[in-house]
Amino acid sequence: MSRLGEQIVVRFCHNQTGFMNLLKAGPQALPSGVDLAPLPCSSKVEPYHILSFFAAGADGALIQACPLGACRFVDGNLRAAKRAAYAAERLSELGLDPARVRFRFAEAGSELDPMEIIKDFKENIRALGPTGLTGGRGAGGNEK
Amino acid sequence: MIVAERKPLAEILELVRGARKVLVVGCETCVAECAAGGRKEVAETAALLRMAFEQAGADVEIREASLDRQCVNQFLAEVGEEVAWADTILSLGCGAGVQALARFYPDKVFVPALNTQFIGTTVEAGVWAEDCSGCGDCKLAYFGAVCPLTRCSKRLLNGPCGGSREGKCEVSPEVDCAWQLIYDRLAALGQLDRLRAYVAPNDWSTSHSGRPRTIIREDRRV
Repeated sequence: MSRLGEQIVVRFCHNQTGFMNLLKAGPQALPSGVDLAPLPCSSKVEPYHILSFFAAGADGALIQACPLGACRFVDGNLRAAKRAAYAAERLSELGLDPARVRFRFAEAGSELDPMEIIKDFKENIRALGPTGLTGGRGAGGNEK
Repeated sequence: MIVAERKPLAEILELVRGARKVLVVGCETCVAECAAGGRKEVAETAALLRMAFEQAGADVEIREASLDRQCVNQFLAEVGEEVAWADTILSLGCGAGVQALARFYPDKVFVPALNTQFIGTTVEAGVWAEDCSGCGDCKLAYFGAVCPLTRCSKRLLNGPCGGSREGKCEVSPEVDCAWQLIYDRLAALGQLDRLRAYVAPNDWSTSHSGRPRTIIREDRRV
């Protein structure tokens, strides 16, 4: 399999029903190279999780949080935003573009189709190209 | 607690240059509280190292471990197997933790991943401040439990200088004037009369300035 910079990890707060529906539709509903999983709260993502995704061969990581002011844990989504920004800064220590980490607050009442969000991110990451990191699985493979 | 910060990645990479088997070992006490050297930071550092080594084309194995306390011998044996495996151990403990590990495993190479900063407290989530200089001659009782030796930029023991402005220090507007804090505390406690007493200069012979310090309690020795 060629490495085009398409391996992305998507983590979302389980309150995001659009993403949950996508998950329930099964992996066949997803574009290739997408690792999608829910979180009890977006703030469950720690910087080391995000960095570990990249160390394992991911080319991009998307964190989808609840809308501003709508976190059931009051400020979990704000904390998640800071953690994602911190992880992105650490990536830049390695010369990797911090844009490989994208953090999104869902838009209350007018949220985009999750598939469109994922495709848009995937296109951006593809434009950046592969990180060159395979997580020890060799240049040709990056399956998760 | 001991407050520390992680060194820049470039410096850590220089410290472990030439290593082939690196054990990243954290400490779950002070440096975990200040988000510098606990399990999460071990995982973060290990991930960064894995990526950096792969970028450099270096074939380096990395393992992770963490101890409840790196500064107490009884805990150090827990990582014996991992230490035996590694050729270099990157410690995310404070300076004392690194040295304790090195004394316990004298034939191994230990390098620090952190810069140990000070004895401090968690002021709020994500904010740590220096509160104690470990001078060995504590006078907090005179100052409403605010240490001027540590928190006054000029270490004044007998009242503020002329640089206090609206509760802030002239050294930096971000630094609270320790003497304003002392005054406010003593006023609230009804103990302003304490400020009438002259406080003698500190006995620095009890501090690190005297010599590296050791405390021996015979009743605790085995």
